Amino acid sequence: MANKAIKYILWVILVLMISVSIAISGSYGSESSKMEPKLKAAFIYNFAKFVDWSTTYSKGISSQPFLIGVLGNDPITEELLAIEGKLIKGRKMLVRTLSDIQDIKGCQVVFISASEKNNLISILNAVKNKEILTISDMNNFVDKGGSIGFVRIENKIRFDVNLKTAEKSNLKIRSDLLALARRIIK
Amino acid sequence: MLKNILRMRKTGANAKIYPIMKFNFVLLCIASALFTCTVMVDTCYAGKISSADLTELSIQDLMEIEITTGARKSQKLANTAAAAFVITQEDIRRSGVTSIAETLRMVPGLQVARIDANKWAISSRGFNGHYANKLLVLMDGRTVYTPLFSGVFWDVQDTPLEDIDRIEVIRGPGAALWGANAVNGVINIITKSAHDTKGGLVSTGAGKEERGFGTFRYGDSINEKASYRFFSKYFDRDESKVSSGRDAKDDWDIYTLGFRTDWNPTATDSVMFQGNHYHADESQSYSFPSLTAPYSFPVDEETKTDGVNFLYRWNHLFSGKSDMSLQLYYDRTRIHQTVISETRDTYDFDFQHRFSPWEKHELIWGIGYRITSDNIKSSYMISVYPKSRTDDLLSTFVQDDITIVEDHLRLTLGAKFEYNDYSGFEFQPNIRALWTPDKQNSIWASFSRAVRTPSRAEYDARLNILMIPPGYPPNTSGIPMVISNIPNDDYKSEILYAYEIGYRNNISESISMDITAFYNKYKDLRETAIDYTSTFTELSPLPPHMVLPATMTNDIHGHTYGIEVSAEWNPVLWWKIKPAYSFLHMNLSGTQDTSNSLTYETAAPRHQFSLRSSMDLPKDMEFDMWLRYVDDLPFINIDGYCTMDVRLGWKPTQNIELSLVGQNIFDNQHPEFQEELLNLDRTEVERTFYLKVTWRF
Repeated sequence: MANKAIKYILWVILVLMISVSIAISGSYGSESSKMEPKLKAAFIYNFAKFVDWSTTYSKGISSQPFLIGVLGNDPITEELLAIEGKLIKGRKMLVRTLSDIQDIKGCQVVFISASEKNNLISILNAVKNKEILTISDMNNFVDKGGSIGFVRIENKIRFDVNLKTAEKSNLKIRSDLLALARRIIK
Repeated sequence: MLKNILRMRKTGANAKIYPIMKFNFVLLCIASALFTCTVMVDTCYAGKISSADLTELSIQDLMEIEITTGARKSQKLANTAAAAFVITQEDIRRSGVTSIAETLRMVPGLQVARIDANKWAISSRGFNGHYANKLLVLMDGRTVYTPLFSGVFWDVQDTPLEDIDRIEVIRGPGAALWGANAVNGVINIITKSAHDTKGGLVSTGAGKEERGFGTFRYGDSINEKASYRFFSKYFDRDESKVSSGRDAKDDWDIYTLGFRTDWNPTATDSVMFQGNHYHADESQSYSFPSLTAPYSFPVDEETKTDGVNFLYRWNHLFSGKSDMSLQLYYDRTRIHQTVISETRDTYDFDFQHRFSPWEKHELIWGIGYRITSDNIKSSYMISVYPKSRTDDLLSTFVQDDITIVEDHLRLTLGAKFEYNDYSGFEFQPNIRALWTPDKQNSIWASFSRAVRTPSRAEYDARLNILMIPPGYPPNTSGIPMVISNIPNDDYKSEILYAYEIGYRNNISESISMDITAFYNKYKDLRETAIDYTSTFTELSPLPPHMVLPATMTNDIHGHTYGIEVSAEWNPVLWWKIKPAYSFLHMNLSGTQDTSNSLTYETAAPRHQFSLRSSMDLPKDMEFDMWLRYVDDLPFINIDGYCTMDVRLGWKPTQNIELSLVGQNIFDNQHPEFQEELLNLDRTEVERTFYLKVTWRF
């Protein structure tokens, strides 16, 4: 009798709990763990070293900052802000959260959060022909026309590169970086 | 909603008056747990690696860093408000030990003693014995203590030592998170992910006590997202000696087979499935009581033990601050021996969820349900009735980790509520605080209540321990008299109130230390006092005999206190020194007979000291030494001993490792413990050497 009661209670609670937990957690969106954004931020910082922007930018005044924009809500923003001020190609790295695609002007790198999945086409259209390196961790990012896409393999981070997009954006990705890519789309 | 909770709380208060309402109380607890929820501490990542550090690394290095969602708990240990100690894979490899039980000698505050070649007495903060019952042991999340006596059969807890990632040990009550029986400590044995054990490994060797051992493991990735490994392990150990030098007839062999798969179907999900099987043949000899002259006869037998278990776990990451895990396992254990045979099946379900409902709060909550059923074959010495029993255990916990001052002060409030078939509802709360004034120092304190719930043994087992022939005192009758432990249906849970305080200091890059002090107040501990006034005559089994009963009651109370210190010092890059010291004082008293409380008090050494030294020598050689001192155990006539293990390792090539290990080299043989129940022959641990070759491919 007691056992039956307990079992009954358990299952009711279980169903309740799982639904509550999923409801609660759903509101957090699908970000990633604490370590993951840190790592990705470090990757982005490193990528910039192996990508050459066109002469117009590199010849500009060195007081001009190196701007990294983040589209969408992502814990990576916090981690990028933590390393803001570091030098990339002799310029001060600045991080900006972009609330609108039009704000991408002046950015050298744009990180597109996975939450922007549905706006991807318009975002990629907006950066077309601009010297902007697009990076994201959404699925199949490079196949959809992004430049560098993070992929998680087992417990580690790898990345794919779409060379075609990069070339169209007038960006040169150095072979040292390509050598480390998991997949390259030419 | 609040009204609802309040209403339910009222019901809860009435639970004591109306037993039937207990269920509602359980419901309340779970419901409130549900709505309040809990936390696991992982401020550690933030403390350990900053984004800026990572930018100093090259892309190649970054690609090697693991995101390890699973490592949350281990990171947590380093920065937790509890007496935590982690045994790493490197510690295991360099110690030269050949079993999990032996690795635990490194941990301050634990008592580890070999009873014979195949039995250990292991406990935390006292109360040691073969049937020690205040320690919770988990292997990859699977509870391995037996509800038969709430203890652990250490001999069969085996897996290739090379595949263990780490062993996390928490002394003191871990009950809020782990549940009942985590009274004096929790040991969590964690094996490596299959992603990290790709390739083959063969290790084999032999020596004086190790008649032969071998491990084979092979692992590979199935695709980019999934990996597997399987292994088999076997060893055959020689018998130990009794004090006179005669062989103790306790040799044994065991084989273990197992597999583990890890699969990350998406970036936020990981799924683990593993299975193990073992079979052991172990010899033991003891005296079995008999109602006819000569009133006891010696038993030399080979016990057979086997088991199989499967465990499935799914982790899902909702966000950096929120994740959940769902775990299911099945475990079957069987033991066959003359005194008692047992088959046990356990099904366990466990769910945990972590999230951050408000800023500065991290909640973790969970629910667990376990069904365990057994089938026992009794003997005259140990008879268990009913012979088969199925028990449920329903538990839920909630813990809130509150950041009071960012990076400096954290408060953790937690509680576990459970309902078991023996003692009913149990409530185990704790409160912990961690103060980190600066990067070098941290101070923590805690107060907890924990219980050791009754086991099958206390409720249902009658033990006929000793036969007193007619005419021998205190038997004045003309028929034999047996001293019997009588089970007690009213046996309650044993209760602990624990006060702990700890201090950690990273004095410099090369020196760190950890000090913990505790004061434990116990209530309702087990006493089996002989009652000379209530002897009675029993006709079954024949011949007629007198029974001198010793009922198991909750009549011992008292306190213990102690200090545990561990440190690590790297004087130079190639040399590590790790000292550890424990002091334990126990003061317990019972109703009439002092032997019970004395057994507890003196079954754990007052002083223990351990010093490990690891040197990396030129030409890929390693030299390790491990010195141990253990104080007297006066009640069971064990003298203090000082002993040493040494290991010389050499890697002639990248893939081959040779090690020559000497254990207990200071003396020919020494006793470490006396088994408390079966009148087992007292055996001694011998000096031994072995050579081991490990080949990785």
